[in-house]
Amino acid sequence: MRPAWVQRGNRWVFAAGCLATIFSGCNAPQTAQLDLTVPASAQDTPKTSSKASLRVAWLAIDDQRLDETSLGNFGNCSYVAKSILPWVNQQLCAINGTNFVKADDLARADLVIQPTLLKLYIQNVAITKSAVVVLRLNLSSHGKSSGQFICRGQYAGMNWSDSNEEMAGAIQNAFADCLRNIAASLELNIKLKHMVVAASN
Amino acid sequence: MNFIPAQVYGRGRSVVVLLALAVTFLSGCVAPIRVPISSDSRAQLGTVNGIVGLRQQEIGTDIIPSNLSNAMGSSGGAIGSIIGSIADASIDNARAKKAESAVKPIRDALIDYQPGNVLAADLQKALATVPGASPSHVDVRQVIDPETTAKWINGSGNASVLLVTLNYKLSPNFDSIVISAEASLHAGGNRLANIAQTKPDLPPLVYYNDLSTTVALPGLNGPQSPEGMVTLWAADGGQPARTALNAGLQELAAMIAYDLTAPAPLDGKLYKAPKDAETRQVTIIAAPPYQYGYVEHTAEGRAWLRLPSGELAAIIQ
Repeated sequence: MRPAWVQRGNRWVFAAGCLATIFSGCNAPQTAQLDLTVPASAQDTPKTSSKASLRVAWLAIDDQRLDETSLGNFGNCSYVAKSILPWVNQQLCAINGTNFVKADDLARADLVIQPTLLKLYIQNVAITKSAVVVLRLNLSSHGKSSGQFICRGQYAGMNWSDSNEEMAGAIQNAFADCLRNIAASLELNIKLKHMVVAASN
Repeated sequence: MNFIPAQVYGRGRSVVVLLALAVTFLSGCVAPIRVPISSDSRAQLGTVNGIVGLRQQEIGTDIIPSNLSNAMGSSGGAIGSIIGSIADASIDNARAKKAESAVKPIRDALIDYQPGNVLAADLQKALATVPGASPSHVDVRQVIDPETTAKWINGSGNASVLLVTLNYKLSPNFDSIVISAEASLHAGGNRLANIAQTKPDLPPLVYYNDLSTTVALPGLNGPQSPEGMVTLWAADGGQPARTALNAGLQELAAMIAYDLTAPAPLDGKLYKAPKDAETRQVTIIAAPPYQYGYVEHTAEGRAWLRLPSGELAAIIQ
């Protein structure tokens, strides 16, 4: 059996190794360009449905963030991406629901939506990556405002590899969550409107 | 295959970092962080442009890190440490995910709150009384990386730049908001080049400090669960959160103004508590080792603590 001081020594070497590896994460700051891709499901032309009761048109997105390229930070690494707004726009326009479809042209739309991008970022909380997307949707119907709502999408998960793909994946997961919330909110909004119309008739 | 999080077992540079750590531990001293500026130097700054830099887009969260690796390492040796580290990573991840999910109502309530603009307005007022360091205007910008901040400073021409990089987050149990800032002054037009110092990720500077303030949930009576705290912060469209943030940002601006005129330590190195000065603990980060400072200034129920390395932290008196 090894003497106690050797065992203690090993423990210190191990502790120092752990510290060294932990602190090796504090590299010099760097900036990484993320490649945000549109999922295949959003690249298809939105399907038209005869059951759909509302034609929805999306206006060009308004960006209220301080910087149009920034995607936040993870530790000392900053993330940026080009063409964020087209990436957002394309996926918004591909949203379909059971009660609405994308309108062929603005003039024939039953519901016009002005989206505003409020937040889009990734950050770390200890070893966890957290991506957040927040959009405000202003709705109008035949030239009259019909309210607004804010939709938040979020994804949090363990950081495994620090890779750009992992960070881009987290942002895309958060955006997918946001799209699901938008679709659900639109469905609810449309159902409520139908109830009001039915009640008034 | 990576099965241990990268931030726990990072890659490469271990030997170099180990050597650097060994040197740091052996040196056994606290290095001064604050770079003070004298009134003579302030008088030479000329026009000062203020910039509030934001690295985040919404209020942050924090966790108390798990420390099983320490406990298991002391009883189970190296294997115990490894198992403990993996357990720590899993627990920390679960805590972070819970915090990020729980904070949503507060973030929603603060969706239109612009802390950068609030701090910019507060700085303009607070610095109006600081001779030589009163900014002509204060911009609010998103900090992307050190290269962009260097461009802002180097691109200001003959004007000096006061850069205040803001960070704000909820404490791990959601009972308070910790607002902190890294403040630096960069002389324009090659002025004061003879006294300029360097800090990581910043162009040469003539003043630097880390400042923080902790503001509690207004009107909190008795202990609350974190979920209860979220409901209280987010009530009335987030009014309690806005009130606390407004107060904290105003205090932070006042602290920066105060610190720009505060003297250097007597021995030129560390800040030692004067005789009979009260010493208090300050919790800037959630995990130990906690820091201690002496009360240097009190106002309206608040105590401003000077830490040995010069940072300034405000807590409830």
